[in-house]
Amino acid sequence: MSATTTTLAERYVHAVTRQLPEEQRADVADELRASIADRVESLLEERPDLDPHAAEREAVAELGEPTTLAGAYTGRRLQLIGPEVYPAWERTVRAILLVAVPVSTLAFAAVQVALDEPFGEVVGGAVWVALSLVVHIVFWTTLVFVLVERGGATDSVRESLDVDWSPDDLPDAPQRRGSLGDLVATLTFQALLAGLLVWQQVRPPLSLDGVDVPVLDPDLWRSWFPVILVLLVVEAGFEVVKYRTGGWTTRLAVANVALGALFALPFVHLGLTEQLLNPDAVLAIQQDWPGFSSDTTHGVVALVAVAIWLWDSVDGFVRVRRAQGAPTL
Amino acid sequence: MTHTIVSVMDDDVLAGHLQELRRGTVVMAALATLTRPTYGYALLETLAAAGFAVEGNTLYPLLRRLEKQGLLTSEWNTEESRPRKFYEVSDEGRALLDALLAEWQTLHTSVESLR
Repeated sequence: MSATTTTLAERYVHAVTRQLPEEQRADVADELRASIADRVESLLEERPDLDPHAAEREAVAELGEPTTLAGAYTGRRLQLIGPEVYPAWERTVRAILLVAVPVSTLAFAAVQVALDEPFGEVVGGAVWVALSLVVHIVFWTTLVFVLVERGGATDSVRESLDVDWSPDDLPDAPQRRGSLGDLVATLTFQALLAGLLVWQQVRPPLSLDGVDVPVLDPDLWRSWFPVILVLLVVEAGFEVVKYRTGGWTTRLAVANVALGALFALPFVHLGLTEQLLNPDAVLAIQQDWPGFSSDTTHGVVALVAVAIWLWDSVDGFVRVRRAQGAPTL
Repeated sequence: MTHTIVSVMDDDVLAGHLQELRRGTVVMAALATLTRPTYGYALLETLAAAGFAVEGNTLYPLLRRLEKQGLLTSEWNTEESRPRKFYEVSDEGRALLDALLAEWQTLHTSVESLR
């Protein structure tokens, strides 16, 4: 055992024992050295074809990761967040992310739009804000829970983080699951709508005298369009809530009427005041279709918005009745 | 002894459950073996031969823990080819082994009576 410190066994013993308290180090090191040597000896006896270096390598490999072994000696926890604390960590991170990231990102984007920043910079800035928020939120929340895991948190901290589970924490069981198909269909439709709004601005389908013109008035990006985008996100949130509650309830149907009114309002207003269409786009359309009327189109938009709102409101209550009438399983 | 059962059971499932059962008995097996002073690697081989497949990285820290709890005593032996740490059960360790074996018997009787 007077080998140089460059042998595998010596390097392994060092890697393990440097993680141990000073007073244990020498003793554990001597015992580990002997155990590895014993193992090498018996490996060479079992398989005479093995060369000593390979045997040493195998003996060391069998003992495994040095930090794991050192942890077994000291009883140190080799985990940032263990199974006991993990559920509370996941709950907290998810709750903060779901609220903070969309709200802050949308607020940032709205301010940038109001400040008349170019569209590309607004999008790029918003993506950057969202990413930084995610990184910060996950990091700092995790740090708090690592301290809880290490026992560095008082009882009141544990309580406020909901680390210790009790039966009172159980959420209400939904009577039935909402329809996942409905949820996906509605969310896809809303995403398409938002995409369409952005697309007609970024890639205008019309051109007047060789210049691309957006269909809708670009000035509205400074007033109503951000509101409409925010409302689409709120609608998406409503759909998720509806799915998680297990389908339509009277309360949701009432909320649906209010939300529908909020969503119809900008279109009715823009339709009645004839602000929605881009005047250049109207000219472009009239070049191919002289009969196209801006007035009529605006009127139709306002009418359709009201019609959709009415139909959707009634549909909500019809579905509540159908859900209540249906046998619950 | 249980050949008919073994033959119809998935080998992996059987091996998994047996390992689970044996894991808790390593302390008993170690205490029983250490009525004679033995060093770590020799204990590892004795246990393996007796069907207790325990890894060195589990056994060596376990011996330290049992020693710290006063269940084992240890002594360095420098007379042989290399210095080795020999462990032996203390009186407390012997008492613990008796208690564990008694519990083992009770469990066996209980399970049998449940059949």
